[in-house]
Amino acid sequence: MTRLWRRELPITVEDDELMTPQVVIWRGQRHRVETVAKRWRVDKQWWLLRIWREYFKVATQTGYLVIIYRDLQTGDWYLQRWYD
Amino acid sequence: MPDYVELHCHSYYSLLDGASALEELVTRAVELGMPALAITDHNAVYGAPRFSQLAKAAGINPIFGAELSLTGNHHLTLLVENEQGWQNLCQLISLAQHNAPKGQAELNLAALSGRTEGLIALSGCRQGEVAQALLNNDEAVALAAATHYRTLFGPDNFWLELQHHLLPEDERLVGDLVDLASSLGLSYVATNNVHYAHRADKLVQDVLICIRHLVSLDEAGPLLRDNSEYYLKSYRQLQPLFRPYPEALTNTLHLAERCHFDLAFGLQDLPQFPTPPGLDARAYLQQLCQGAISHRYSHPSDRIQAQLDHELAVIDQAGLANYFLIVWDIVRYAQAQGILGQGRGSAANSLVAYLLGISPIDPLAHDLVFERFLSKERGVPPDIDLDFQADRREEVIQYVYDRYDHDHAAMACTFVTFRARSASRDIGKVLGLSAMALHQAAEVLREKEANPVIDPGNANAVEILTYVAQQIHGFPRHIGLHNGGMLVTRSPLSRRLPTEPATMDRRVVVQWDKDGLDDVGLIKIDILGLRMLSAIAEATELITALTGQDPRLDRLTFDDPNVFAMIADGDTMGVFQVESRAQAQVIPKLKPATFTDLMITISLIRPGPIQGNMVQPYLRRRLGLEAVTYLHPRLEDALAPTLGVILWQEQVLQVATDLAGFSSGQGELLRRTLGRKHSTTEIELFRSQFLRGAHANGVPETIAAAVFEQLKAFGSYAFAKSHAGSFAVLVYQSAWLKCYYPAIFFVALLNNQPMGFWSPAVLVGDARRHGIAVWPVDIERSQGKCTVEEGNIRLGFNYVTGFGEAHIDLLEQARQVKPFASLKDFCRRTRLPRRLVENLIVAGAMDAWGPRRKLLWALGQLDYREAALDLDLPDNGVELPSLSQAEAMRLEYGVLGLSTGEHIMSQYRTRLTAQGILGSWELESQPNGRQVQVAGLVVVHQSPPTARGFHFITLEDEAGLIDLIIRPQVYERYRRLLRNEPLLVAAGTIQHHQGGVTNLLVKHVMSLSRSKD
Repeated sequence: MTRLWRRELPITVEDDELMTPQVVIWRGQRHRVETVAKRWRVDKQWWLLRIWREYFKVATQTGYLVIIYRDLQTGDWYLQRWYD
Repeated sequence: MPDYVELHCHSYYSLLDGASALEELVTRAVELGMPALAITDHNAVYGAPRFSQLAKAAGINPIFGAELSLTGNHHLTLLVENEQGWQNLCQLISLAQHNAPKGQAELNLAALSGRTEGLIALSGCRQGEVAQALLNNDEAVALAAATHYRTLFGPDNFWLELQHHLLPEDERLVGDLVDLASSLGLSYVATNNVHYAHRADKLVQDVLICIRHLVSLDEAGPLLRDNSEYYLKSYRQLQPLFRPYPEALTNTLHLAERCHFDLAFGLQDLPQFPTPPGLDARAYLQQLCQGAISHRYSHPSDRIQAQLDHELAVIDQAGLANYFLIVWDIVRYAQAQGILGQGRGSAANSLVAYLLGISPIDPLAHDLVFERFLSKERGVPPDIDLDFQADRREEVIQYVYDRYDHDHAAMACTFVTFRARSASRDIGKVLGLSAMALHQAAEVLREKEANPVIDPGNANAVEILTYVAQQIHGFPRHIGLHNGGMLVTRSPLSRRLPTEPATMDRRVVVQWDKDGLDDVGLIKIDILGLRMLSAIAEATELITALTGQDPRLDRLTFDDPNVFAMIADGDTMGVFQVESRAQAQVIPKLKPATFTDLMITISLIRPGPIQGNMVQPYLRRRLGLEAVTYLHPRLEDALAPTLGVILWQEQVLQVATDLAGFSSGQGELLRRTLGRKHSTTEIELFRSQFLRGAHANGVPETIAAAVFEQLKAFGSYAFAKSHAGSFAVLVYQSAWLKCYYPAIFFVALLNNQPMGFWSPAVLVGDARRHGIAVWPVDIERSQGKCTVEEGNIRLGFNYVTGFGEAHIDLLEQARQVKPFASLKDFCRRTRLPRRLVENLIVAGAMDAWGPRRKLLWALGQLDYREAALDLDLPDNGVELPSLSQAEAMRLEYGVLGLSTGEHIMSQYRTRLTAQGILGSWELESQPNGRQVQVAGLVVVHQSPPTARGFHFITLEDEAGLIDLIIRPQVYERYRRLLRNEPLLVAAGTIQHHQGGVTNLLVKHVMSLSRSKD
């Protein structure tokens, strides 16, 4: 089962100097990122509410597959989808 | 830091796709430290000449190329390695363009065969055949395609193109391409498929894409790119994306180093003009000129022979003898066909041009200096433009095509560009703006303030619109045919530059405009159409028919005092170049009395001298109100003939030479740069050079700077003295016609509309004021065109709305059999469409058969079968009201575009007189400064950009014209009225000026119909 949040859900992420996520902290638990399976950027709808985000599909060492994204305008991280 | 070179980059010449000017891209590339840059627009090299110049000036290597569209909707990136590659690229682009409907160029893959040498092919973006196959998981197809390209181009010249825009599949695709490269022994290279210089420009690209597809941003969906990564990136920005494959980035340098091609052609490209046996071009030219001397001069002096020898020597040295023969041949053909024409531009500086019949004036008689036409320094192609009768220009163009054939003759293109204000409509639709918001935006744009960079997140729609409109101002929108610029070449065109089909049948256009052609040294000949020449030709025919003698206008000596008196009086409506309100205001003060005065007049009232603040000083000096002074004594020689004021391009040259020590070649370059559009950086370079040179001559810097500012203001438009000379010939000829054959003159003007400054409605008013009646269209007496009847003007059927050639022919044929007896007879025999018959009735053509209302009613009752002819009518039906005089007048005006009866103002005169409102004839006697009211029909409304918000309106009444001056604040108050009401009452102060010029400085305005109280 996966949970997809339709609205942004803030999440804490520790990243490296290249801004690649290293650790995802969710509900008090730390999940170290094992691999970045995919990474992509979107920049859309600037005429409404700009969506400028960098998405990461990561596999954690704790066995989860997570899609998070960073809002490139604010630098904040959000959770998109968590696969059990 | 290792370098990276962008090898796949679109400029705004990828029409409605690329969002940056070449200037932006080159500047950014230099900032990023790139030693080279490639420009690869879609199926085109529109920007190549400009790119070449910019890159060289910036010190980077320009790499030429294009992104080709292949059948199957595949893209291929091509880069030019050498001259052979360039020729092949041109051929491939031409094939792609001629293969499909305009704007949908497409190349068959097979066409690549045998045309790949000297080209480096990159496998393309996601739409490249290989990439697309890999994205579809079709490895076999990808392999086959890559193998095929490798065979076509060779393993050294086919490279796999890696692009990483942080799209979800990019990582995998890059990996697959690298694997493929390895299995085929191919190399790979990274590109960024650049479509704009900076990330923030993505919004402009999105708008352009929407304009291209005619959708709004909300509707655009997948048409827009998913992110904003398609900008010029640096090595550092790309390195993380290609971390596993660093050679992808360094290979860009290897490829860049292989590409060297200099885009410069020259005179040797002109076709060799066939000369009689035993004579080369120079000798033949000499023979023609010698033979012409006695024809042009009754008493040739030694000076003429000396000048001829000198010019021929310079022409020969510059390798231009051939060019003169080619131009002479075109002019000779036109003359033989009875087509009126003359050269314009700097050709008039040349005695050779005069002898060959290319130029209409004797340069020696008018102090025109040959060196202004042809400077010994090479690299600056000469400039001969030919004006022909507009109605027969096509014949001349066709002659050139026939003589040089379609592989060696083509027309220069023009780039139709976005203008901020008209673009705002398109952008508004893209943004989904309401009409109200659009209107608001248009107002903002009218103020022309430079918009700071906006943050789209925080801007409202109107701000975004004005920002984008200003960004894309000047962007090319589509290409069109340049008005007559023709290119003739010795080698097949397709080896020099690509061609495209023009929208006009059988016409072929090259991908460069006249500036581009100039930049690369390809010589073109402008074959332009001038309606005044058509009018003069027609007038000449009419005079010959009337008097039995050809008036030989070409033999006129420019010294008839009657002609000058008429002009000096301001009676110039219809006369070439001197009829505008601005001209009419100045001429009575200037009082031209010589041919040179005519040259000065037409050069003076132009944006250049107005902006440079030349006009008033000149007038004051001429009238003796001010001493003639020069900013510096070194300017006296150049500027004495124009009383110290810079009027002509030749003077720009001479000032640069005399004050700042420029060579004549450099002066010429300065002059050309001042006249170009995107030249701010170059102008600054010249400014420094100018100041340095002036300093070396001991000229104080403030003075040198002031002089340079004057030269700059001039760049917008300055006449060449030679050009003023050729045009002054037409001024004189048309004035002579108006002076001695006014009825014929007006008929010729009426038959060659649209032309000139005034509408036919106003022209007929002037005719009447000259005692010439203007008789309505008459079913028995009118011809297809306007004619002279008993010394008056008879309107022709050409003035009835909806009447085309076919209808006129029909009518004339039926009439020839037997005159028309009645409405019924007319309809039955011509079977013209009812709408046209209505128009004829309303125009008064059938007044002999009864009152118009009755005829219209009778027409409604008639039953006849209309001939099946195309009607060229606008969609508003003619209503049938009760026809009071005012109504009849209005309807007639609607159908003819003018009134043959009384002037509409005469309807109101009784009332106006009772109210103390003056007519045009009463103003002269009013004392200066008196407050009066006037009324009239608006016939001119101007607000030139140089006028700083002032508006100039001319009213017409039954006796003449009234000039109004409206200050910006007054205009603001009455803006709606002034823009919408045709009949106005204006109250203000009388201003009398020198020479009998009178204006009204307006305080209040109201609509005439409202002023009843």
